[in-house]
Amino acid sequence: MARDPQAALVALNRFGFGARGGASGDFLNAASDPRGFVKTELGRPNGALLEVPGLQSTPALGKAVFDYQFEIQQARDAAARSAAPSATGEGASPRPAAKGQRRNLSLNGIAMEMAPKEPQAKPAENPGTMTPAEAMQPNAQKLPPQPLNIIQKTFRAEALARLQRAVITDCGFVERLVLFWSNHFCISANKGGPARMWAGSFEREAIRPHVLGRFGDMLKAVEQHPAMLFFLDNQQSLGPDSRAGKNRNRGLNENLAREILELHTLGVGGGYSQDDVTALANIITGWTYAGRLGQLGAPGSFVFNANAHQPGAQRVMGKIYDAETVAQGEAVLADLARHPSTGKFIAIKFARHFVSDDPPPALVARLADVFTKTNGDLKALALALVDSDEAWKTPLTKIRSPYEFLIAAGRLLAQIPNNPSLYLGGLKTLGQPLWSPAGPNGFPDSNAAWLAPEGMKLRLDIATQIASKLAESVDPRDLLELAAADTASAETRRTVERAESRQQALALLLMSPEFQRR
Amino acid sequence: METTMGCCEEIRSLSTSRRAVLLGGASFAAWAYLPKFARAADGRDPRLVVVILRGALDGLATVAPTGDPDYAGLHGSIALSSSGPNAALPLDNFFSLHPAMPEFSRMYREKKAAVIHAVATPYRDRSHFDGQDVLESGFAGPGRVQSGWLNRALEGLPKGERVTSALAVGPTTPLVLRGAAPTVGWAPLVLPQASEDTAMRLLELYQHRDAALGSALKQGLALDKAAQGDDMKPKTGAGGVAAMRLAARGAARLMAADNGPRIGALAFDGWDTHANEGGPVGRLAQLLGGLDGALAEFETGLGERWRDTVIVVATEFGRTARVNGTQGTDHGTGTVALLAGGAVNGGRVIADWPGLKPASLYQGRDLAPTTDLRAAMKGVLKDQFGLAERVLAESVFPDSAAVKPMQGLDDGNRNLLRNLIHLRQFLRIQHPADRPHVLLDLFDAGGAGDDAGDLRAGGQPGEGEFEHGVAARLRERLEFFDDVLIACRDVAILQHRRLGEAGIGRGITAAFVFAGEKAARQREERQ
Repeated sequence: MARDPQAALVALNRFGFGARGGASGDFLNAASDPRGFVKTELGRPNGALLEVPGLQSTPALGKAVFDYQFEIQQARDAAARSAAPSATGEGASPRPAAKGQRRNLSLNGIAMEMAPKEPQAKPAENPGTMTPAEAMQPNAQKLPPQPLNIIQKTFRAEALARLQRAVITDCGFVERLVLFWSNHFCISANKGGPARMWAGSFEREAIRPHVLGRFGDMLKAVEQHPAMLFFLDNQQSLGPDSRAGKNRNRGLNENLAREILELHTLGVGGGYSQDDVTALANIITGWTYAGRLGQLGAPGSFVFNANAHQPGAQRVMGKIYDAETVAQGEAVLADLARHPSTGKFIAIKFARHFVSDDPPPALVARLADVFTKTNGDLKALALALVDSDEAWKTPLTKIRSPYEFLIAAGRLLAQIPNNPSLYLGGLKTLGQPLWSPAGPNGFPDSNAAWLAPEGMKLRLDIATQIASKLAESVDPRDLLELAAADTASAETRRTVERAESRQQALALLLMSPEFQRR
Repeated sequence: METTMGCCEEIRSLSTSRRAVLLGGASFAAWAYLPKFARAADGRDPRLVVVILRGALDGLATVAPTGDPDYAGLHGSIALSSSGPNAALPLDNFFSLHPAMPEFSRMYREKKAAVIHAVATPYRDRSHFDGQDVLESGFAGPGRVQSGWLNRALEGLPKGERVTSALAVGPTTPLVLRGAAPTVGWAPLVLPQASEDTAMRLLELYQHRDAALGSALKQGLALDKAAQGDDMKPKTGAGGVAAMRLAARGAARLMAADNGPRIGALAFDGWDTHANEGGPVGRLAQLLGGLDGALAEFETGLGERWRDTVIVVATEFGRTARVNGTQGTDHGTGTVALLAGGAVNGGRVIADWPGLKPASLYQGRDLAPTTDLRAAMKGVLKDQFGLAERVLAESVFPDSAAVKPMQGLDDGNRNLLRNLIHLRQFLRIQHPADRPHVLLDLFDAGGAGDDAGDLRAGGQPGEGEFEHGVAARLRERLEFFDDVLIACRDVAILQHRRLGEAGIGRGITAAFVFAGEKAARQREERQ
């Protein structure tokens, strides 16, 4: 049995989410057949799908969020109406009350209003004396606990399912691919209620089925997903000459079209012009989702609204598209997926993510070639990477992103999360809030971004916090063995062994180059 | 009985789910029951606090044998002296206390504090992890043990009324208190940062292995320091010296309640002073100042209950008698344990002093241990709670029948060693060949001991109020945390400011925020 610890480290960390603790034997398995260890996951049919009981489809979630928002709106209107009669003119006294009322008209405030009132006073409450617990926590706010709304509940359930998968999965290469593509085609949950509601289902429905499939299929699924349409405003975009556009005196929104060209396919410098952006924006007018009342279709499902669609042929990248239906846009997407600029753009991004910030040009060229020749076969692309020498010989110089870091820690510590809070909080602190990048270009993917002074300090603090929670039940010396085995440097080994406590040893292990680099 | 079982289950499941929540500072955990051991006979309602100092406390710097002719030479530049500027605080004509501990010194003078010197667990190697395992597990050697001696001691007590339920969260329950008997934890709202010591160790590793990580971290630390002002004191442990006080303050208030827990454990990190340990001032002085403050917080916070309290401060092993090449000390063996509290029969240093002559040093380098720490722990458990010697020797400290409980540590025990006693002087006369744990039996004057007959029946006024009024609300808060706990920097800054106003905050840029839930919630909701 061949044994190659250095290659095992590459298999586990460059391609995967790091070795799992417990009795997984990940390091040994990876060392005995590094490439096989990585490739096994690619051979599992539907291995990228995430089907967890309780997670709902986008239309079902859409209906729920529309209904929720509608109720909120109604309650808000009702509150405004009931406040109005009491306002006896412009006198000073009613104003603060109205103001206070408005402040309470937040989603949760209203959700609270609607919720059955809980008995307010707890028994045996003595207002005269401070309880020990209160005394201890002078800064504690005495907020009554508010029930989570449907959006928050959904987001947390989706997050938990994804985190659990990442922590338990064997090598993690497929999950890393999901992460890559999900970030490539990112939406942000911060856009609003529907985006937060759909952040998980978007990934489950538009990304995962195609991670080992075709780029063109993923592209189409993404651009027609309600989450993306909402995120980049396409549901508001009306063809200026469409019936809806004329009736409502509103028009085009180029947001989605631009990002399709700039971020999703050709890339900046990929050869498109403003005219191409405008033409594509016209072409995808009418790409929207059905609303609460379901006039266009099942609420929360993708629909082509011919009434909003800009009539007529359009020219994109020199080619005329004259279909009058959704097929017009689908044809453009299919051509964009095949465009050489797309292959190059994807290849360099892919190599940069997995191999190094400055990937070997030969590798990038080969990946682009595979992408183009296989017509965007993403499994072939992944295999080409695993089969390349460069992926195994290039030193592990990239620092783990916060997500990769926290997941790797969870795996090593064998902590299958039953609550996403720890991860959501950690990700936010470290600047990579789940499904919420600052812009449509996604989270950065370079050492420059994650290996920043402030980030490193925060990372150390987070490692310390994790260690303070979990170190008692583990032996950091064993964990170092599981994570890095023979590849652990003498210095790291010594640093862990000589730590003054398990907590300190674990924090140092989590911060060691062996654990931080991939 | 069935109810009890149900409660245990609940506690366990709750604490499991709480593990997902991060927060920090020094941790405190306590027993979830009000034991029925309050003694009707003498009206005592004893409290016991165990403080674990992780990293190995330099006992020779904490309680310096200034009367030992070899001490100054061995401890070199960091040796304390009994006179001059920054003089150590005299305890007797032989031992002096580190000047950073004026509160302990006062308690000592008031005979409410005692020192046990040249003490060690049965562990004789020098690994922190293994040493802490032995210290906290109560077993004679290292090995993976899932329960601690204090928890097993609890199992030997009648349960009484349950006083708290899933009271609050803490980073972890120290091993000493882990086990079958249900416990609860609490941690102060100090958001933990990595200690300076941890950061320095990491920087050194990076310096050898990864310059880019090192440079980024170095800058990050510098930025952080600049943001906090440069008059800050060195950080120690999880949250630093202030966190020690804060943890103690909170723990004391909890334990002071009529139906609060009677038994608790805390753990403080940061005592591994390999370099620049410092003498009367410096790194160890800071830590000892924090510990001293924590003891004072207990005294204040426990109020009337201080009278019935024993605090035991213990560490996994000591440090080398000789100062090393970097003005610090390396892993050693014999060290000190400290006792404080109104129930302590104090004002004495209990030591079978082995001396510091080269031949007397353990393996030629460490203060030789002459007292088994388990003897002290057993003595405290026996005096405070009347645990039977058999239980102590079999389940609490397995296979320790040969280690007899130290007698007379407890002030309520009418048994003495009231004046300074260097045990060796007695022991030499009486049984020179043997070690004190055997001979201490000679001092046994028949205390409350094994007698369970004086245990007061449970049921105190006001019981249950805590459960209903506070714990329930806290539980709500906690469930709430579980659900919306969000760490975000803007809230953290707010929190930082607040803590700063309260005089405890520094270095809270990375934060898992609890008090900021309102802002966090608004943030979520805005989406």
